[in-house]
Amino acid sequence: VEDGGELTGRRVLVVEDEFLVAMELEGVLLREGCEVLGASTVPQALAALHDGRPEVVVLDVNLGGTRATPVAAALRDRGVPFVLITGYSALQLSEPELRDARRLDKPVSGRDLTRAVAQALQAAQASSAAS
Amino acid sequence: MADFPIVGIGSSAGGLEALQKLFGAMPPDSGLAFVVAAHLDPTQKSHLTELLSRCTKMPVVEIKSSIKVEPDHVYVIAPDQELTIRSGVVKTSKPTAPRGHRHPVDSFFRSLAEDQGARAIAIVLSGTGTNGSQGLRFIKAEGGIAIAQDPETAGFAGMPRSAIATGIVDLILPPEKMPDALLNLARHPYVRHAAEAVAERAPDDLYRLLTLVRAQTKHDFSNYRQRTLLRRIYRRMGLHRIERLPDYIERLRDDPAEIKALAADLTINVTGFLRDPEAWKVLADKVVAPLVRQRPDGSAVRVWVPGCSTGEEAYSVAMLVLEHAEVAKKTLDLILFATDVADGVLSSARAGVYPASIAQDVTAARLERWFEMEDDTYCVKKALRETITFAPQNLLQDPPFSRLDLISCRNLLIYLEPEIQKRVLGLFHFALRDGGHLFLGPAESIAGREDLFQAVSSKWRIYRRLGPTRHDVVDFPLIDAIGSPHGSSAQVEAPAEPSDRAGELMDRALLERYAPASVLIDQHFRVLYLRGPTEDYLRPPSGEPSYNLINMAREGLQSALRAAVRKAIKEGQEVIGDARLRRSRVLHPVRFVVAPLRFGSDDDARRLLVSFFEVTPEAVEPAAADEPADESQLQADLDATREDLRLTIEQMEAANEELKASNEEVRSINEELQASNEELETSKEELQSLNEELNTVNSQLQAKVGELEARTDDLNNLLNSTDVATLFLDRSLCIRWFTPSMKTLLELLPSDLGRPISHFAQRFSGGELLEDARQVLERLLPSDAEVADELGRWYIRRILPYRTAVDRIDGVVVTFTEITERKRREKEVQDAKEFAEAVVEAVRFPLVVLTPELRVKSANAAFYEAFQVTPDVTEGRPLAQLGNRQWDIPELHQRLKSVLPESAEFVDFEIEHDFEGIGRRTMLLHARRLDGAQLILLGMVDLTERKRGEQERELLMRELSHRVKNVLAVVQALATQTDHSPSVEEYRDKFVGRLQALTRAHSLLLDGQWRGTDLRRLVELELHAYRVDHPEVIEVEGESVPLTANQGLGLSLILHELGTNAAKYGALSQSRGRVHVSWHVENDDQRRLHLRWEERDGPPVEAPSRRGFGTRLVERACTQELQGESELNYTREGLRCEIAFPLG
Repeated sequence: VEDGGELTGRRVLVVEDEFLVAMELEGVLLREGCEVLGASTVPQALAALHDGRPEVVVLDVNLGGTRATPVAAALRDRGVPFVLITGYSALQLSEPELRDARRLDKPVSGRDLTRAVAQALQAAQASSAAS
Repeated sequence: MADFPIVGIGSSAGGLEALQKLFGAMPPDSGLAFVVAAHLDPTQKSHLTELLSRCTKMPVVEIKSSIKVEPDHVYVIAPDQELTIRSGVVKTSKPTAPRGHRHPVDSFFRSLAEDQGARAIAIVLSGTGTNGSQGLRFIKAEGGIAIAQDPETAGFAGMPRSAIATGIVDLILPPEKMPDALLNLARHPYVRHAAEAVAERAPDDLYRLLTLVRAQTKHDFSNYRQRTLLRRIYRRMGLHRIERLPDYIERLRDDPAEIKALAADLTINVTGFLRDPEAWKVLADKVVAPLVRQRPDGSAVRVWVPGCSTGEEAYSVAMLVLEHAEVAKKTLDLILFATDVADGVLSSARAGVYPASIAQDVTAARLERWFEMEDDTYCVKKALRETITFAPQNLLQDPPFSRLDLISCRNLLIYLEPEIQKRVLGLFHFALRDGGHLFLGPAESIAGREDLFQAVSSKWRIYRRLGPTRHDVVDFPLIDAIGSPHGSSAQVEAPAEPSDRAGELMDRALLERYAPASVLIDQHFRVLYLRGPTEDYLRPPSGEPSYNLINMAREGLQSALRAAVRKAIKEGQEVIGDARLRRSRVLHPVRFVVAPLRFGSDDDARRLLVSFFEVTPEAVEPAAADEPADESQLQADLDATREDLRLTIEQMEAANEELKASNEEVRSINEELQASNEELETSKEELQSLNEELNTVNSQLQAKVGELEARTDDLNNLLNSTDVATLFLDRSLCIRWFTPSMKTLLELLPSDLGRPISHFAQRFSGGELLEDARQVLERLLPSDAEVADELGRWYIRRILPYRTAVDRIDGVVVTFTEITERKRREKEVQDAKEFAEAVVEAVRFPLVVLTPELRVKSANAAFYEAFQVTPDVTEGRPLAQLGNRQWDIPELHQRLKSVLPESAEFVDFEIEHDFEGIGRRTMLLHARRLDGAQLILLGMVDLTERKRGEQERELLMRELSHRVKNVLAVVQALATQTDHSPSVEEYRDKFVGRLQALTRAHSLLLDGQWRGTDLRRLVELELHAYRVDHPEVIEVEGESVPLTANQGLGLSLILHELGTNAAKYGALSQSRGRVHVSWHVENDDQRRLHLRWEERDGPPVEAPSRRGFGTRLVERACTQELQGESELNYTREGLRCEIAFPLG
């Protein structure tokens, strides 16, 4: 987990409506060697999920005024791990799809992001191995 | 006649107490008998007998039918009875007069006076009215004693006062002192032995006494009947307990007042209105009616009533004359002299005030016509009063009036000695004009003066004056006037005979010398006048003096004279007769002529002149005493006698015929009278039944009067006790009456009664009393007004129409009820109410006032505003039914109904409810029970807005935090991605420039409330820095195009990057370089914006070797933020950037 090495080649979907932030997140993950997919709206995200089959998703909760809940629901259905990025406090994430999700508060540092994504992947692997 | 005095006692209201005191002090063995004639309620059983027996040991007996009066007994009248006494036996009878006109005391006293005369004693006790006063006059006239209760001690002083006012009461005593006086009277010889006392002869003493009276009073009673005088003198002695005449004379010397009293007693004369109605009827028919008929309109009628006493007789005559004149439609100037010696009675005659009992004598019509009823008296009206001249005059001393048509002198002659009567009659003859009439009392006559008067009605003593004025019979003063003020001038005032003139003197002388002895007679042979030497033929007859010609004729003349006169009357022609007179035994031939003289058609006025002629003896036969002469003389006498006899028989036969005719007439009259009598019987029965009816009605009226009195008392007490000032006004709004509390209110005085209320009404402000009262009179509707007086006190003034029992409006009743205190409280309440209402109105949150039944009483403006309703659909309705039942909230009703009765209020009761018109609302309700006003105050605070605000604020906070974090993320992204430049300063400039662009975009968006912005403004703002000094360097061309927030943000960053690049490397890095920014909107299936950035005249550009952050930013902003495309071309001219995106 220390090294970013294990993220190399991983396909990551960044769902973020703020393009400057998206550029930054993508930049961080690209530098980690990830294959980065991008989406800025719920439909784009669902389409990317379906088309790109990401291994892990970085998901902004607020997508141009719309909650990313449907995306989270789809991710849970598919068992795709995801990291929520949000300016909201935990209280504001009352939906069951979002409630217990891995979460990073904005603004996000590059290190936190890579660590969270890596952990999300590991946890997913562990749970799938267990099952 | 009983030989003990009988005391009559009259009483009425308040009399019981007086009777009890009187009998309580009366010893039971006084020897007196008492008859109590009390005025009792005819409908009630009397307890008088029972009550009186308790205070005296004398037997007290209620009189039933008749009873003989015994001494030491008390006899009491029964209710509804009248008493009379005859020969000492008291009888009861049903009163004939209707109730209200009965005077039982008067009638009994009158009867007592007539029966007992001087022994009668009458006492008037307490009572109202005038009952008894008239009766006392009769008592006094008969010489009885009149006593009255001291009015000070009487419960009701009316009767005693009235009695005293007559001036004839002998003693005025309190009841307990009466027995003492009565005992003294009873023991006095005058009462005890009245007959003997009168019989006592004391001429000297009497003479002394009368001289004393004459000296003191100028009244000479010496010609009055001694019996009458003595009776009255002894009476006065009895009162003073003096037994002997000389002692009384001594008393008189010292006591001038007693002389006056005695003189007054001596002149007492009972009179009455139309006393003896039949006599007056005859007078009216035979004297007054013809008199009025004969007199031309406007002429004078002269009447004299001597001895008029208190004037009743004079007024009676005046009434008769005036009434007849009225019927004949003539205006006669009635001059009536009414005279009397006593001044005292004259003033009461002048006043003309009589007790109510005169109604017994005077008909109702006359009372109505000539009298005015005042209290219990009748007062003569002015018209009647003015026809009579009342003057003091002494018939016996002063000269009489003259040329009178009528003298009415009733019951005066009886007091005079017969000789004086004759002289008075002579006086009357003189005073009357020829044919004038004299009207005397029933016990009087013209006895001894038949030559002067002829009877018109001998029964009723009406006479006509006969013959010419006879100076020989008049010699006034009839008695010597001693110091009389009239005395010396009397003869001067008498009508003087016309003085003889020369012609008359000569006529008389010639007559004396040449005229034959003649005599004037009337048809009744009465000698009227003598002339010449008649003594040869006439002589006074022996016996009573007579003026009859036949009686006076000398022997031998009588039969011839009678025959000749009759013949002359019968034939109306002169008759010559011859006769022989025996003179000193010698027969003298006499010739006489009877010549009828005519003075008028009237038989009564026929006069005959009889003249005697002396015939010389030669002319006839010689008066020798020879046989043949004697024989022929006898033969002549016989012839004359036969002739006389024949005529007498003829006359008798004629008279007989006349009598037969008269008898026939009388029979038929008798028939008529019987018929009349039957009719009268019937009438009488009818009257009796009518009387019964009247009695019934009267008793009903009595009961009503009683009730009325009680009501009046109640009413008076009520009005006096109440504080409600009440004022009664009549139809002309003058004060009719007011209650005592009214006095202070309008400062009214009792003397203000009758004054117009307009004089007082100014004291009140507001509500014109006068105007309102008029309106009430007009509309008959009550009026209420609140008025204030000068002192600021308030009253409710109520005006009601005044309705009489017959529902006539006869003015108004005004009441004033003070309400100052109420008014003050009312104002306080009103102020408090206004304050409360102002508070309710002023409160900004809705308030509803509910009744206990949960109906809306009122609501404030805030309520109407909040719930968008109006008062007219709210007030008075049940809360649950307001506006489509929107307030039908079960919990609220439950709370209001169950909680409020227990506690005074509930607060902060929150409800959420859908309200029509304003939607779902959260309300905080407060309710408070107002116990005093029986109301519930329901206040509500609309929490809806506040709650929503709170939620929004929270949301905003979260959003803000979220955005801040987002912004920070963006800033971080800018910072991390900005290319690392050779120097820190350069990096900082780049980063800060981008941050500023971002900030400007945010500012712009914030101006537009983050809902979007305008493209042109955005372009100008972003490029502003480059154009400040040289606006021409950047040319902007394009319309206003609205952009979304994201579009605005993206374009800002793009323009910043392009601007920075141009300033650093492109056209703006050189002064002549120019940038042209333009855009347009394409409308295909979707609106798209095409924006072009063109640089020229800048340094040569070429595509950079490496794609820097700026370029990537532009591209990424286009794709992601604008959802569009971008194209960057580095041409020779300069950089050209084309951007297209959907406007959406």
